[in-house]
Amino acid sequence: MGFITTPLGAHLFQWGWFSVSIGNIATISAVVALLVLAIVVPFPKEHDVTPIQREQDRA
Amino acid sequence: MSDQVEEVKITWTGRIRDRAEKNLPYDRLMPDTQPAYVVSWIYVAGVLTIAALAGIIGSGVILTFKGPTWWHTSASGHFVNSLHFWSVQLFFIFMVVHLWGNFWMAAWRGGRWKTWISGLVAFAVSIGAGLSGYAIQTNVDSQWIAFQAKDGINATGVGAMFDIANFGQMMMFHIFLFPGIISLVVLAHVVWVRIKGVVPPIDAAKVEAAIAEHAASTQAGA
Amino acid sequence: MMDLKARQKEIERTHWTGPLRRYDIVKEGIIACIVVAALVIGLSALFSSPDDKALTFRGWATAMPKDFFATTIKELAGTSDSATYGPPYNANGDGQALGPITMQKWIGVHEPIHTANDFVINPLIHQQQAQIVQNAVVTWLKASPAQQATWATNLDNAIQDPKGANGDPSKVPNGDYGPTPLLASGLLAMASSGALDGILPAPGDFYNSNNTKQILFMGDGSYLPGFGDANHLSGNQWGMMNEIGDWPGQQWLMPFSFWYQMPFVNSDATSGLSATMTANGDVYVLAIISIIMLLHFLIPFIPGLRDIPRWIPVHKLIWRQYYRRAKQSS
Repeated sequence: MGFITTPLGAHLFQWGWFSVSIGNIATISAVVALLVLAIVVPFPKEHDVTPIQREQDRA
Repeated sequence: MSDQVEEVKITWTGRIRDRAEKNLPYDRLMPDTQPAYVVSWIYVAGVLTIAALAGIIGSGVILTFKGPTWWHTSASGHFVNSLHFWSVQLFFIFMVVHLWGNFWMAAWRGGRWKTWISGLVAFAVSIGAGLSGYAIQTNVDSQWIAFQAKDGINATGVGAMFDIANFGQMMMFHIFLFPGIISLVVLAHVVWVRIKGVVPPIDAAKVEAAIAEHAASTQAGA
Repeated sequence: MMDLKARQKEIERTHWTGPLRRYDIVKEGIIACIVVAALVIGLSALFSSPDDKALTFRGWATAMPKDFFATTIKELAGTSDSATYGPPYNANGDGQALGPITMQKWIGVHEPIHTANDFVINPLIHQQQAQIVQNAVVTWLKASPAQQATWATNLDNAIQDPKGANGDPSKVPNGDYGPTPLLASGLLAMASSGALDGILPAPGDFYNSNNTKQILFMGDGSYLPGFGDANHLSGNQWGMMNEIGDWPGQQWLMPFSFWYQMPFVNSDATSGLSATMTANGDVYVLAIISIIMLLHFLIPFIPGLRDIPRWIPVHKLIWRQYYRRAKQSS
């Protein structure tokens, strides 16, 4: 890992930024990815039926 | 036929039942309809969190029957421990997605602050449950976590009654007190969601006004 | 004609009377359980879970006997981290302070530990020792606390002398150490045999379920801390959220672990604000986290914070299908 020997790399590594485990990087990325996908991926239309109105909901 | 004469309940049981029937009738507790705006995958994050919690408890029950050191010497034990470990990871992953989703929907609106706060309480207590779980693995990870975490816990004075290096105490917290509290808080959280209903969109009134305006102008034109 | 804001509030507070769609809460719950079960089983089969064997006193004494010896002398002299920790273990330190707030000190000692007796003398007494070690124990117990302190401190200073032994007990010059060298070598032998692992938690007792003494004693040396450093588990290596190897750890502690990476709690300064914050790093970080948590709890009541979803309208994406369909139906 040659980056660590550069001045910037040495500085960041000294702080431990690159000590984050791969598993953590994966799970944190999963959170971000799931959040974005959940918002962006469209919900299937076929689960919609004609909107219904219940009688007892009318005031 | 409306209730013109309402019987005034004087028993505690009667009053509680009345409130429950008014706020949480069966068709709100176990609905088979939901508002038309509940169309987004973000809405499944909550139920996925609960499903992961069920996974934690299920694998935890198996571990209970076999004791805390079984998994070090048994392949099936190690597998059950893995089920428990990954259930916990998924639990927190889905919970954080659920938290962020509800933040962007400003889900505390309309008096839903109890739901919001109970959710964060569940998060906080879950962190404690997780920490106590790590402390009872009976391997080097437990030793390290006990050694490190004690300083932060002691610094607040809480270390006087919560000794993370005390295996027996951590075991009792982890399999009894924390799951008990989490179950109650999650139950309250879900009941409040059912009582209040899923929060309407931030622009619901604008949408309603636009529909009404269009309907009025269509009728006028007809 | 109700004003839009008031109408919005009314919609939020009352039961929804607008259009509905089909929903099956039981089916949703069951499908969620099946999906999560499949994920959990899959991940478990693919990646398993970490299980590195626990460290033992036998391992420590075998791998690092000089370090074990030197740490034992520190426990006798009362200069180890545990001996000077303060509450909840003893009153030999004040613990951490957040300015004038010293919760650790105020709440006091509830898990009393006397390092010389609990880590060294009691374990030695509860196992058959070589005659010279037994005699050393008797000499120690007969001496006054002041005499005990003198012996142990002399040897501790000699071992730690950077111009002399510099941490190596085999290089100390002759001095007035009393029975302490024999006590330490007796305990080293006990640890190397494996006996100390069994006896230390509850000498003389059948049952034990409290590992506090072991964690504190082992943490005073370099064996356990060395393991942590080597595995990227120390506080300023994102250790709080890391796990051994490549496994995910407690990544939900990332906002907590973040503050331990900051220079203000990692300073080498010996005086001034940086030094104070580093020495009391845990309580400062916990105070920051508590404030952040409290703000989260109170978001519904804090103007500004609670308006962020309005200012950054992610909700327009979340509810876009509803907005579009409402436009179409009108």
